[in-house]
Amino acid sequence: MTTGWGCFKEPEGSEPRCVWALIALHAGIGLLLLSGGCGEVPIGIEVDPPHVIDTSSVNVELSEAVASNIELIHQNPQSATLRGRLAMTYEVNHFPDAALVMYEQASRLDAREFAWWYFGALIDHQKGNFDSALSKIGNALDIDPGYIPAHLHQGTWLLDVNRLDDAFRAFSEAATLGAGSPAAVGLAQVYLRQDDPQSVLDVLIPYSQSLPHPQIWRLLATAFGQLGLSEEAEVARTLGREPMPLQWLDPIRQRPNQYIFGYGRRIVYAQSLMNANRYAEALRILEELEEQERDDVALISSLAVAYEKTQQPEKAKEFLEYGIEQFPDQYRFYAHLGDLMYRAGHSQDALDMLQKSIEITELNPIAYERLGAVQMRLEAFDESIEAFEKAIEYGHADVSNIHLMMGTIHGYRQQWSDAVEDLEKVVELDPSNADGHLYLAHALLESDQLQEAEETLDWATRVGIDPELLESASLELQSRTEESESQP
Amino acid sequence: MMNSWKQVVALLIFGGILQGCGGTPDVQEPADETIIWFAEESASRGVDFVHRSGHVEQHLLPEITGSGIAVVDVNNDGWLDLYFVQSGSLLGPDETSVNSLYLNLGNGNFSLQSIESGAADNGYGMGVAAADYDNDGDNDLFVTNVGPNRMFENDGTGKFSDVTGRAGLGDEQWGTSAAFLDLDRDGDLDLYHANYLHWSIEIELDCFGSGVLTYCPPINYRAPAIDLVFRNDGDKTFIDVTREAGVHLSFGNGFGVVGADFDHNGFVDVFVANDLMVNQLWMNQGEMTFTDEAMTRGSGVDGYGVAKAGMGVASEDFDQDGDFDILVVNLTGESDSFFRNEGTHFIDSTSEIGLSAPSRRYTRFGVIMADFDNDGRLDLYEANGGVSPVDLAAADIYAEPNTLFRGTPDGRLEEVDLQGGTEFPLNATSRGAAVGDLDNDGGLDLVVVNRDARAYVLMNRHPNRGNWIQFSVLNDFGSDAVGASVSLIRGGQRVYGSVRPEGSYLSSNDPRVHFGLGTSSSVEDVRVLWPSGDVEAFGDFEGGQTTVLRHGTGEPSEWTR
Repeated sequence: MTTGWGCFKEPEGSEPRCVWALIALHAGIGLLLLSGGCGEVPIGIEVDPPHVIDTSSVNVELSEAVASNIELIHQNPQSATLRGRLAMTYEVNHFPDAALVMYEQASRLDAREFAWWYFGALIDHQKGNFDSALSKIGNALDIDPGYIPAHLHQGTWLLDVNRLDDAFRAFSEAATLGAGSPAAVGLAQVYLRQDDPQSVLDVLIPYSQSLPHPQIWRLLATAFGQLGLSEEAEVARTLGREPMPLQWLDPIRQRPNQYIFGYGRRIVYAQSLMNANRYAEALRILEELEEQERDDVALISSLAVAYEKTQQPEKAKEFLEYGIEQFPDQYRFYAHLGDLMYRAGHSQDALDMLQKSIEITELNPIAYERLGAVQMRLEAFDESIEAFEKAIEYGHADVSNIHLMMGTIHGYRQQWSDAVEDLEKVVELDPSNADGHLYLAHALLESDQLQEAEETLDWATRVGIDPELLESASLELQSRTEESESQP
Repeated sequence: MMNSWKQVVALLIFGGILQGCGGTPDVQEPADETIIWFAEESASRGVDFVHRSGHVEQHLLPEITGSGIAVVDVNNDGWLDLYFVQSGSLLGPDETSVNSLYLNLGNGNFSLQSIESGAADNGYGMGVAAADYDNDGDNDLFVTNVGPNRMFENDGTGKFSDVTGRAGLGDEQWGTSAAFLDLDRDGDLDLYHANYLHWSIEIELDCFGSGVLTYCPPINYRAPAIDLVFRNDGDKTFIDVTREAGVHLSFGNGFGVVGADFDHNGFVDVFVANDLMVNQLWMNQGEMTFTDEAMTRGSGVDGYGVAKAGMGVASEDFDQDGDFDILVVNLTGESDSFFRNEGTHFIDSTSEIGLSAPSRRYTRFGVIMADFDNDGRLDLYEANGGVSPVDLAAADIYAEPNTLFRGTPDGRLEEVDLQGGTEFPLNATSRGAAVGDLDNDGGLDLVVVNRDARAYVLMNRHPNRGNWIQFSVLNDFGSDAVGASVSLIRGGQRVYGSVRPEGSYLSSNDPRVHFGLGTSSSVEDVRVLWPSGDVEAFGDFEGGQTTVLRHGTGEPSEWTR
């Protein structure tokens, strides 16, 4: 399982550890290099004047920072650090072409600085300039051959341009350095392209148990398929159906973010941190922004999420109430507050808030889903089902879970055919949902569909049901079967 | 197992679940730096359509999505006409922003027939599907809008009447791409149309891009919409069978739609390209029921597991192995996704065909996979334009040049030297794109809709075009047999095509089946696999012509792969 974004438990037989400790060490070195201008050539290299772009239409803060940096570069034209800083400023404020020019200038002045080559390579890759990207990342790795994320990027890009032998070397190097599953996945992709499915199994099966990431299962599914193992392929495809990419941490890559200027851009950055579960960092930025501008819907909404996720529900509630006071038509605030109240156990208050949110707009799948949950808790099951159905109608993203809740309600009320109908949808939408299979098996048993219950349990076994639950379910199935067979 | 369902409910309430829920040359041909593939001739050909997004101040999401174009013969004169979908205004009715029909004058030049066509809908237009829905031998038009969709029935002369109410096709959501497909194999065309998301001005959001306010990504709205499936009952009415078909069971921000029998079970499947969500692959189980198998068949996300921003989609047999592959185009920074059909599943082979690197520079919408130089290999045209500002100093801050890739003998695609294949790069915010032989000269032309700008009419001017053949594949009613496949032997190798007007982005293509022949002068053993499952052989044909293949006039035969 992942233990955070890209930090993985290693396969059995090796020491469980977070390989990214190594990366953190490298990040520290990178920090030193960036802050000290270490390794700069003091004189003698001819370099163009800094690339100047007009950022005044974007925001004053950015414009002033750029002007100030350019002034410093004019005073210290041989400073790679200053040019690199300008490059980072351009990059994170969405001027990639200008950033690329400045990274190249910085690299010319200080060819021993890893970051300038690395950042330039990443921009080149985004723009589809693969030759340049590969050349630059090669230069970066010459400087720091121990930085695992660079090897992983290099391998991936080489795969993208079909240079399979070179990609193999890059992923092998990453594996040697302790990259773990990301390197194994890279190697597996090379093997697949080389029509060598057996090697895919050899490299990935150890990880499929310790790190059951869907990307690993997807690759295994293809390999099983190529080997003619269709049943194994089907199970692997099922386990790989979650649309989740395998990612890895890249601490050095985070460095330019300190140069994000402008209210809107910083909010977006804070939101991206929250998407990566880095709520405390996001909260620091949002609190700074609050000092500039308190009355902003996006800020209030983001602050409420950040406070909630950092275990400060009272602060979250306070901001949402403030938001409702300032923006009484913002249905999201009511929905969020309703959710907070639900979690705090205040069902009636939650109900009121969610209903207010829905009064403002019907197109409100999240509020309907929460409403269904609240009604379920209040044992208002008809209303709960109605709300869940609305949530589905208006496009809630997790239809499978909603059907699971609806199926559970039907089961509670012993409406077995309805329960079966909903739970069948659960496993149709998410065949890897072991709970769904288990509940469905039970509902099928109650409906005297013993054969179907047995098949469902069989599938649940393959997708990883809890052994204790499986045992008790099997016993019940056995008992029902015997009971059925003993009847004339 | 579970002793009590009350325990389960308690677990759900207080526990976790509620908490968050062919015959191609074998010698590499050098790319010619000076070859002009297309000339932009909208002005000289009488096409003055200018798209209007209606953008004023607030950024309203539909404004950035553009609209589509149908390249279709509406008056049965053998010449393709153009039907442009107009957007307009989201702030209120705009009587001046209407869809526009341009009739082909019989030489590839056009004359505007707007209000008098009867198809001048003034809804906030998105996409169009063109086909003969009532089997009376002429092409009808279905238009998707942000708001009520419209169905226009053709009287055979290119005059239309609005039959939306009677047909039962006036869904009021945000419709995008649509496809007429015979999903139940009963001889009439059913309808599948994607919906993007549940949108209204009230739920609009403010987002920043390049430091300025701009349009939001669709996931911010958290309101993906269900696509709809309508069964044609053969009496000019449709029944919404979305729920019975099972299509309500998965969601997406749907943009591109294409149909093909991907698994050769005799029924048309449907692929939907979703924007920043997992694509859908609706496998047809027969009896008008579908299951979404995109993830288990390997076409839901790319090879790295990423759900990209799917826009347009094309489906052709790129590797000429007898089944249809899928190409989805995506956002800048994301490569295209080429899903190679392996029979039982798809494999992301984007890098193998050379698109991983060059395709990621721009945001692509319209996408056409066709043989533009008639060398027997499929080429690729992509209509591009940003969704957040690309150049804040430019007159059109979202504008990007379009791109053209030529098919190479080793089964790859490489970008041509003149960007977009035109003498000078064309820069606009391009959206819908459709392909067809507008001047019936055997070279495939293109029409591209540009957001808030004049459309392109790109006439094929490749100087070294190879030989060609084109088929009008007609059913018993004299209509294009949508969904039929054509195979033939070209240069000793069997190759495949299909009658597939749907695809690209919000658009409808020339239904005729075109093959480039390279230096071959003729083709052998032409066979048609009809939507009913019948196979007929039609013999050999000389190249350089458009030929009619009519159902029931060939010899019964077998389909070979």
